[in-house]
Amino acid sequence: MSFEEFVRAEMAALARFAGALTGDRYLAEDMLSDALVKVARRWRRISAVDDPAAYVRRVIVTTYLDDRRKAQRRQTTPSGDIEVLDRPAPDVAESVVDRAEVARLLSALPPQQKAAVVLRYLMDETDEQIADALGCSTGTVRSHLSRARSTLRLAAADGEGVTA
Amino acid sequence: MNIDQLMEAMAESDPNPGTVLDLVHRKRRAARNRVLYATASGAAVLAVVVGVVLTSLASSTQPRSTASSAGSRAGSASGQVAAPLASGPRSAANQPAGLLGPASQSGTCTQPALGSVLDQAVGSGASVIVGSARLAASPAGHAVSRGSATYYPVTLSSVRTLAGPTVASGAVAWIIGASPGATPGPGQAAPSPDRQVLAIVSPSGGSGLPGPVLQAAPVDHGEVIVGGGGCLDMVAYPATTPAGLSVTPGSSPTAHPASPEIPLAAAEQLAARA
Repeated sequence: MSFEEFVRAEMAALARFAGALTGDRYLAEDMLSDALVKVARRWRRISAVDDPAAYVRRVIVTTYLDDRRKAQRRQTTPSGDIEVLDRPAPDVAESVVDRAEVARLLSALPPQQKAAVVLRYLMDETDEQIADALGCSTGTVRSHLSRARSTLRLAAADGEGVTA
Repeated sequence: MNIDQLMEAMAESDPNPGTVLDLVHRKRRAARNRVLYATASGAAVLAVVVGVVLTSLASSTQPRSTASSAGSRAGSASGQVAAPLASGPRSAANQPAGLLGPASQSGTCTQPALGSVLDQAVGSGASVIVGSARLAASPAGHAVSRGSATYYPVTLSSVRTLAGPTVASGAVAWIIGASPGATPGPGQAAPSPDRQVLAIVSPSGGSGLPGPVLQAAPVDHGEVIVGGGGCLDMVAYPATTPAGLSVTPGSSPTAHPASPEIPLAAAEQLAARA
């Protein structure tokens, strides 16, 4: 299978995966294209592995994490409006069902936790697969997922939706 | 939050696959271009470095090759002159007449170059010789006046004819000199022992002289003493006043401090070409 054939077959899934990771369409397009350029460069070797799609997802996750790391270094926090610290936080319980609030909670997740959530709930991957993609242990994966669920008010077990 | 809400939220930011593919193509093209530019830049830098190295190598070998090529050019220009050209202030003078052309062309010569003189002489039926010349024991008693000039007999010996009709040893030719009774000036005829000369022996023709006419340049230590400026200073017959080298027997090279020299071998070769 050539790189072009692979992209045509997997693009929809890869696009959804990248969109879920970044939470931003344009950022997802940029990040996914960067990842695919890397994949294209190494396609001969990648195409020989058992599951090229999983490998490509791992490349996407790595690219996403690198990108977030760079973004955090570039990020500056405005300190002029110090009264912002005294403002009351929005009442999460009241707006949890709100779509925007869900997106806000998702975007608030640390990159590793968010990647773990996406891989688990969107791609339905096991702890081992997630650990392989993130380059960490399964225990760390479980920790990431637990904290992410707490943040998202996801009290249910994997695959079950429970309102917080 | 339930799973459906989570899935819905995660699906909200799906990128456009077409846009992604377009970006992939553009980024891959840009990457290829970067590689091409880097390769081209590297090749350009390499070419510059090689050029600089070759130039420096060429310049380091230039003096040797230039000298050798100049030598070969000089050799060919002088008509296979075997004698090496002397260096220093005398180099111009040491060049045979053929090489004196530039000096003549630059206007520094007031007399024809040696090659031209010899060519013209041979062309008019004269001989070019190398030999010993001796004035008569009593030149004044044998002098012949023609106009304002006075000629004296010179006996030639050990003659080697370089060009033109053969001149035999023992032949007598007539050379222009100072008036009888006057003190010979530098280069003018005066009694002297044998002296080697490079000479043009011209038929008497309409000169009214009893024998051929001699124009001579002295040879000193294998060098023909010629005129200043690297030009031959033989006075064409029948010149009125011998200047410098027109009459040589008896004159000392030191009497002509400004007179440069050319190797006799070079002059002989020029004569052979005449």
